[in-house]
Amino acid sequence: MPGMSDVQAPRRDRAEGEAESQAGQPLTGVRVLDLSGRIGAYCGKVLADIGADVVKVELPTGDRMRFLPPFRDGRKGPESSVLFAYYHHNKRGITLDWERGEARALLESLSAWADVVLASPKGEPEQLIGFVDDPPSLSWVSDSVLTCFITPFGLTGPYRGWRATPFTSFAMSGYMHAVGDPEGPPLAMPGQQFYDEAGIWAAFLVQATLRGPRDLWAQVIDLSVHEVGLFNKLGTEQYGLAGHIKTRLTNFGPPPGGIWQCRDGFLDIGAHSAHHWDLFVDLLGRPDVLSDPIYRDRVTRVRLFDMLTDLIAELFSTRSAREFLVAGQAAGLPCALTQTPAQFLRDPQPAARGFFVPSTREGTGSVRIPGPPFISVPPMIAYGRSAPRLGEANEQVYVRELGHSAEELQQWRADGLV
Amino acid sequence: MVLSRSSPTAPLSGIRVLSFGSFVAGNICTLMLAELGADVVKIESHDRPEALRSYDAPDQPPVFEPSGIRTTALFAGMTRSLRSACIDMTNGSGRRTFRRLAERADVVVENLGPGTMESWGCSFADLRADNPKLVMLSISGYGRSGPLAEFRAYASNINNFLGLTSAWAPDGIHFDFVAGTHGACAVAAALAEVDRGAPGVFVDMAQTETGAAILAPLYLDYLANGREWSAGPNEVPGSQFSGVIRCLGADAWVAIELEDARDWAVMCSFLERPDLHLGDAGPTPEMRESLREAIEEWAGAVSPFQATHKLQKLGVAVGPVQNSEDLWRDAQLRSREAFVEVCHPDLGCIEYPNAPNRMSRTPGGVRSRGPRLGEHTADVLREWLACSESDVEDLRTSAAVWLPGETGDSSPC
Repeated sequence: MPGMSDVQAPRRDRAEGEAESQAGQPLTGVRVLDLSGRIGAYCGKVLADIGADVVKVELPTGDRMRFLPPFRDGRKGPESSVLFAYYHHNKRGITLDWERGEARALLESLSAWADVVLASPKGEPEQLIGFVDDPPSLSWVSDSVLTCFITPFGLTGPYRGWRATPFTSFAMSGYMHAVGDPEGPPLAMPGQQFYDEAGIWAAFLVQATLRGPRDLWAQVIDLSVHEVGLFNKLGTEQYGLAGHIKTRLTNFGPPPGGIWQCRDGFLDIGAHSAHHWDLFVDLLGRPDVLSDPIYRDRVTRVRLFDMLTDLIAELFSTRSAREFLVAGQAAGLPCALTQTPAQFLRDPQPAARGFFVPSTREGTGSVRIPGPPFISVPPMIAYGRSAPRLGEANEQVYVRELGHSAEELQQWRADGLV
Repeated sequence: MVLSRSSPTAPLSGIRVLSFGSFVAGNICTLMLAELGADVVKIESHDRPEALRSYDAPDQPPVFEPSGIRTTALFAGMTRSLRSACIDMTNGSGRRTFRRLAERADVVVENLGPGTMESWGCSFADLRADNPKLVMLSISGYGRSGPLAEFRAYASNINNFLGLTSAWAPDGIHFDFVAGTHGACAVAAALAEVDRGAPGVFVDMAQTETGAAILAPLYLDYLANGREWSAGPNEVPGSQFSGVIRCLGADAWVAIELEDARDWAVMCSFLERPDLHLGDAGPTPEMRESLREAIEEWAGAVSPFQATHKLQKLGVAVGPVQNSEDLWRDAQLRSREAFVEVCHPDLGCIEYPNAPNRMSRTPGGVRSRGPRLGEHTADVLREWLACSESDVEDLRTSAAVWLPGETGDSSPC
């Protein structure tokens, strides 16, 4: 196959004597050391989902996400956060106080084990030992190991030391300002979605690097959530195209695009292709008020946004959203009902595709969590291991895999290092 | 002016991609592959050009390529680094030409309507019969199986279906980017799987599922405890305080989140409000409201950037609510050259967001401006299929392909 002879499969040769398994996943054999905290949690999750051995390294006090809701049955505690359980499914977990100088030797030993190190040395209150500012790097990372930094702003530039959360990152992205009531405050998208989008970017860049020759693995990725937010402006309303500043609208359009209140609920229509207007007018039975052919032009509908919105809102007020959904989809008009999160969770579609998977562990019990973000033939994602207890793999990693003695581990525990 | 910046060591160089990817999800996915080195050929139709080619803003005059086909800055931005080949899939000769290209491809990407690839005889099974290591990524709204497999969706529909709209606000484009980025990630995984010996990989990517994977924080309380999502506007569950506060100026706002008791104490000291200090039990709704009023009183006299600078110095998570103009002037983005100017003979020179590929040794980058319709048809036929000039002419005559002809100005800038 063209271009395939000079690249190497994204896997590390296994240690001598270790059994080579025929079964496996895309990243089987790839070892990832994850010190990136909340900001890289989704990156590590995706890499683990497709087969990498991801070892999450937490401070002995536990990752901050362990203390974020929701908690199973409302019981707060380091093992009962369902949020932590979701973002750390398929990972192993160890502890290490990586703010202390004594951690350096252990970090060197862990780095020698790893192919990839994920880290987030800025933007969190914690300070990662061995971080070098210029150029950004980690002094304890071995040769031929890929270092992937994920930070709110990147590791250069005037905001590099600023603190952020998913909430403030979204505020700065240019996205929040255009969402919400025109009079009231702009509204933050719930969740930590820009952190997770940065995570999927990182998972892509890491995989791409691992495809290359081994001598190019030794490099540094400096991924910025703020730049991921900017990249998402490549779609519409870029200031660079025409100097437009998008304002807060209470509907999304132009008509017939947008959300319409029907007698039995809300209906959302997406109408971006030229033929969608005609489809839409046909579905409404070609009412006279919409018969003017000038409405077929999208730009005209942008100009007549308010007038058309009033006309169409009136027409929908007596109709059934559910009936329109069925007829609209049959005719090829993209449309959907406005559901609550719980309505989505009860919808037959994700269930029919096996989207939810079980997580079973001490502290959070048996719960269903969102599963593979994509499915494939043959399957590339496997769900075996539920999220680790704090320090669950300490003995496995430090003693059995890195070859330290049980006595050493005992001493590190006594010193509060592990 | 940055063109052909792609380094020979770009990690995906040598990978060949054929794309029926359109709109945001399909184009962004393939742009990501191209800007790390893949040769991505976008298959376009002369009779039904992609809608984004005529997706004008009201104050922008229509722009035409020399062939008379429309284009827009929006389209050119999302298709930069891609090549365009114009193949007519409605005739047998065009479909045969596509299948010959697919024999030489590593990856096929599509986000067409349900059943379209099958109707062309170009399903994954059809194409893999001639290319046993093929990776195919099929992006759709709801997935290619299940009761909604035949449903069509744009991104705003996904927001509504998943519950994001009801938990937040109407909006339109977010989950297209989420699917595009997951798509590139899935292609990279599938290429690795093929390297491991898999007999081709078909990826069935539902935008609803990529979206739901990162909407988990909205779902987990219901899944674990049966409790519906109930956070109020701008409320961050688990934080001591979060708010979007009005500042001095028109439509000027700052976002502040106090994650823990230390942050709360810092804020109270800064505002000189010792009376608001927290007890062990954490803040009550009344205490949050009192703090909000105190912050509002202070913030009303400063700009969002002043507020940010003052509070960042104290280590508080705070940021100005930037509009699209603020973003374009953002000192951090400018200092990191996060924008890239791309010049186009029909559209002029435009600054676009660059991809966030900050890799120290294999950064990739923008390979070329957005293509004119069918601009690379002949090149691709020659390079991929070793067609001669007369072969290309035969395909043109049989209407398998469309060539834009001599355009006068075909230089990239």
